[in-house]
Amino acid sequence: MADIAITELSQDLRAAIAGLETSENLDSVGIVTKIGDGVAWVHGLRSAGFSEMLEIETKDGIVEAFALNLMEDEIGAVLLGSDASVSAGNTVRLKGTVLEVPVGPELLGRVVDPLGRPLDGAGPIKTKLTGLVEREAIGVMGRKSVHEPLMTGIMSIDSMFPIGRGQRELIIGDRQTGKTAIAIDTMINQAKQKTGVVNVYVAIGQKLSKVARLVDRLKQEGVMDQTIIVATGPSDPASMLYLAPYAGTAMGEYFRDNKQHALMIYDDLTKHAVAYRQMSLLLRRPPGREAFPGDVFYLHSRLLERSAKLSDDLGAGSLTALPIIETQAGDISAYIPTNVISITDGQIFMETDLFYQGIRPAISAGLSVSRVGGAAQTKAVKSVSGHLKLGLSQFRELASFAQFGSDLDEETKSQIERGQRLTELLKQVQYQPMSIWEQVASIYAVTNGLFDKVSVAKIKDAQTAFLTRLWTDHKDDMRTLDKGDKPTDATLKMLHKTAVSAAKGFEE
Amino acid sequence: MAVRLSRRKMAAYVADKLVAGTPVSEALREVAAYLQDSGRTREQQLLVRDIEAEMADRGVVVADVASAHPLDASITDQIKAMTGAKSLQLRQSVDESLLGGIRVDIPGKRFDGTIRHKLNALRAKQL
Repeated sequence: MADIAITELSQDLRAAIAGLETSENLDSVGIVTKIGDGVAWVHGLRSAGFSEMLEIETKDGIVEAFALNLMEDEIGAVLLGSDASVSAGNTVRLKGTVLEVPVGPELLGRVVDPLGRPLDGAGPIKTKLTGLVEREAIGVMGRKSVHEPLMTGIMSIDSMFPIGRGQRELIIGDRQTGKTAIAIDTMINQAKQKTGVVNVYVAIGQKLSKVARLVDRLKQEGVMDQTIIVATGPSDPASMLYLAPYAGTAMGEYFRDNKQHALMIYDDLTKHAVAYRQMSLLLRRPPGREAFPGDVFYLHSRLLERSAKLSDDLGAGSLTALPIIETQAGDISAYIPTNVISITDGQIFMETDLFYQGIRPAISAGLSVSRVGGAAQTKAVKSVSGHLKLGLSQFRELASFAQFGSDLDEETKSQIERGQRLTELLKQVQYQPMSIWEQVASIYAVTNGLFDKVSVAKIKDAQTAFLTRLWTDHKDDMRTLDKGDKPTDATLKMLHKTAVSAAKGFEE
Repeated sequence: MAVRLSRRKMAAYVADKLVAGTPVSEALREVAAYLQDSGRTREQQLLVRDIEAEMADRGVVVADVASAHPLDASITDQIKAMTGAKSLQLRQSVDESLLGGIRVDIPGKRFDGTIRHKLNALRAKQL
């Protein structure tokens, strides 16, 4: 065998590495051929991958973009900044990475844009980690069925449409029906009940004044410390609106993957779909129904699929999603609402009529549903709210019939009267989520007819008196009840007694 | 209506002809006629870039070299080694605003070792 010289191996290896470095410094470049409406058409960059980041060298510095249309002769890229300084002929460099955003606990309490840049003027955010904006959802084996409750603090939701950790529950309704209010109350409840759930609120094309008001309110309520806000306004480029929910999810996933629980609020996905439609039409993709592109379903399904309850092997963390959809004139059969309804595990439908009748939160008992939350409902609440939904739906139906005549049999009359009291009881002031014991006691009193003699107008007063009396006289029992276990017979007896005596002061 | 030919296909056709030894003017005549006929003469600059890219894939590389100072002949060998080209043709230019170092543009790729580029990158990092 001929001698092989290996004495200089280290030197050869070093030379080989130096050679590699030289080729690494060789950037793939192309040029901008057309620019307009936040979309750049680029010649060259044949090795570009889908969603890969590009840097456009302009006279005012670098503008970032990401490649979405990969065609034979050119690629279409959407800019992440203003297109004012970009012109045809600018050099485009392939970054070789896909979009990542900073993630980690350092983001808590901050307001950021979809690229993780601070918007609140509270200095730079020094995170150690980054997360992929577009990431594949966890697989079947990595999941576990939803079984822990995520209390919203809103009595009508927790009792009739319970939400579990890892569930996707859609909040849908016309404008000004209290959709965001439900999401905010849920966030506040996580802080009040000290559940440890981290909130990520994603504002998609929301008025920035609304976001500012929200931040103020969350600070007042002491929720901001466990909240991340990803904000985009109506004047931001469509690309930023498009990225916002994915970036927010990447931030939420950090907590999910680290054995914690996070709650995502996407406010709202209608504007997200509209932003994506704008991008798609500018990229000349063919329009479909309502001019949305063909992949608008995938747009939302891949986003919401990332919300999950992880298996014990993966740490049992969870990511719950509350997407919001705005309907036009209560039409839930439009394209985007039907898509998102079919993707999510249930919906809370808000009705304009109820809202203006003063029934707030204006949740429709008939059209709302929670498909997986039943298994996750707090046992204490479940034990008292068995027939609540059915009773309320029957009451609404009966009440509409009863308008035609006053000759009703006793049973129908009592059903209507009970329904009226129940409706009154489920009214709840904004920013005042209720704890488990308050919900259990209130529902128990009304569904067992203990407040039947109290006039409808005084139900709320009777409820307050009842709860105050319980808290003053039976604090320890209430603390036990608040843990969520099924109330004992002794507790129920005590609730019964207290409710009867509290109701006495308000009887007609 | 005839199917719209992509520039990449046209470029590959021309490159194949050039590599096979067809004179440049002859190889380009057909494509020029097609561009004229299909009203796509505006794309000629892009087509030139595409042909250069196709030629580079076939080992014939045209490189634009810009530097702050005139370069000596050894640069050709270095670029040849860097690109792995069989045949290399240089277009050299001197640009004092680059401050130092060289910038080599080959089809679809750029090596930027100029001091101006390094300063810009540093500035971008600080922002």
